[in-house]
Amino acid sequence: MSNLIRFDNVSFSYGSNRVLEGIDLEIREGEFLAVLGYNGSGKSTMAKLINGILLPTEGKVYVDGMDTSDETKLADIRKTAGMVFQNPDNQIVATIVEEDVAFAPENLGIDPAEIRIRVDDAIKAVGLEKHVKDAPHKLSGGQKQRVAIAGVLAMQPRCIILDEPTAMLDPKGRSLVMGVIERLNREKGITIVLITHFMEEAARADRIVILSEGKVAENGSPKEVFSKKERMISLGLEVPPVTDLTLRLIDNGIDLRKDIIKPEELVDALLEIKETTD
Amino acid sequence: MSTIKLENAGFVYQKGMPDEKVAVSGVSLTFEEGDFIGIIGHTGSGKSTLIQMLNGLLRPTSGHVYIDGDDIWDDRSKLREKRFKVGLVLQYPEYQLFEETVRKDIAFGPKNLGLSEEEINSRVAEAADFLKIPEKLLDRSPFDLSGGEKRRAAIAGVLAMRPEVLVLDEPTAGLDPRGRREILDVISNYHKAEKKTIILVSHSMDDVARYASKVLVMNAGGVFYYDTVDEVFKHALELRETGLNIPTVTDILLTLKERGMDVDTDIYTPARAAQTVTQYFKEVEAR
Repeated sequence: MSNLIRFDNVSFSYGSNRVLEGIDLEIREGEFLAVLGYNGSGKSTMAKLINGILLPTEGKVYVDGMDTSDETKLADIRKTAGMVFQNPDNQIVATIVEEDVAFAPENLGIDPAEIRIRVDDAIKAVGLEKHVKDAPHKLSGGQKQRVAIAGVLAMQPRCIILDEPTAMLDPKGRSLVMGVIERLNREKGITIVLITHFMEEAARADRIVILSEGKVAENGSPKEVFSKKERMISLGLEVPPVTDLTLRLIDNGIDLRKDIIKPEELVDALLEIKETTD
Repeated sequence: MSTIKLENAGFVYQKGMPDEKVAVSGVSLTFEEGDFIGIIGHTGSGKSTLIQMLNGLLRPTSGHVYIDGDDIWDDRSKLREKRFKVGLVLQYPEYQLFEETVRKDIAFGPKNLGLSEEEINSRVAEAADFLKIPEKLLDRSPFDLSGGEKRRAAIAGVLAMRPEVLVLDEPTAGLDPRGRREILDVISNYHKAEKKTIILVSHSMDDVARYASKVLVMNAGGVFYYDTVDEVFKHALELRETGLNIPTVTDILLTLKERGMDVDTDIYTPARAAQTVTQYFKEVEAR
């Protein structure tokens, strides 16, 4: 697969405050990438650099080969890479769900018949068919966040960047939003860049990048990254509870792989051992 | 020290209107002084409504709320005094920061109590100390702080009121793992040092299990369970069946048990979960 997004030796400073330093990173088309790091590690800045909300102080960011500092390309870049932010209340502009989802394509001057199709598809993709005519403020946080995702989807982007989209949601809202994100990736092949503080969410990605002090501290599959518990803690993060339990069992002499990151993996592995000992 | 008692307390939004909504109904329980209580439940289970009744932000539409034996609504002239006993930290409290400096912001409450300059300074210092806010940050604008620091500054403002009962609604929402741990650790240290009652509303059963001594599980506006952490987790299966988000390790143990492994399931920490699973295999081997 080709690279959709490329950071080429990117640094970024807010005034004298250097937030990112010498980032080299490639994100493949169709990949699901999770970005982790403590608050202030530069994650949100990285997200904003992708679709040209911020421009690098040094280096270049390319989206589908387009340089984000090339103003003539900015509209195309934002059509390619859409963004969803943490607080759904700050991203909803219209008073009816379907109008909100139609907002961006309308501004692009797309043909109304085409907009109708896109809006219906987008609302269906996030599972809000029953709420098309509802007022967004009457929806729950998780539903609002799905409206925001539908709004981005209606732009038909190839990549969606989500900056802590579940931070303000309850567990149910979180799991529904995560379900939508995974489906968009697996079924529609949309490239996902998910910034999150939840290790369980990152465990569902193809790859994890951890930022620390503005640099890439780790870059690998969830299994590779989470099997290094001490390293995770030193980076201000933690491992998912299931990995924690697995590592403790290994310490106790139970023969398990170090890279278990999903509850069902541990259950299956333990039952397998049970079969052989019974 | 204060005890809060609810007697058949209920709250209905838009009472008497076509869109009236029962948020809490028939809740009777006591929050004993010095306890660390975790409150969990789905969105809409009545958690936030309940805690707003604890310090008189909402007046129950039925039943009573007593603080130290007095119905807080009996004598309106004493409501203010009662209210100060219960400090409420709302969700995303940093949105309420507004002063020019962190110091002034923490001092805002005590100042309104009409305390002396000296007393105010000592309270600010004490609250900042508990929340691990270094002296050098106190003269900065609250808006220059990091997310976690802002959150702690906002909580310090409530602590400076020296409430007998500290109620926190989702104090770790939106923070990174280290920030979450820091906030919960300072709350726990404060609880241990001052023996004040702490009521913590959380979506995270893991956090509640780790820090609280008692758990109140709310469901559909009522009390589902209210007991010690150990007792409540004996009902892990029922909790899971109502769709509550139980700790990951408890969930794993329940699944193992369902699939024929005889492990303990009233467990909520990775350390103890590792113990019971290891124990199981040792026993199998011994046979």
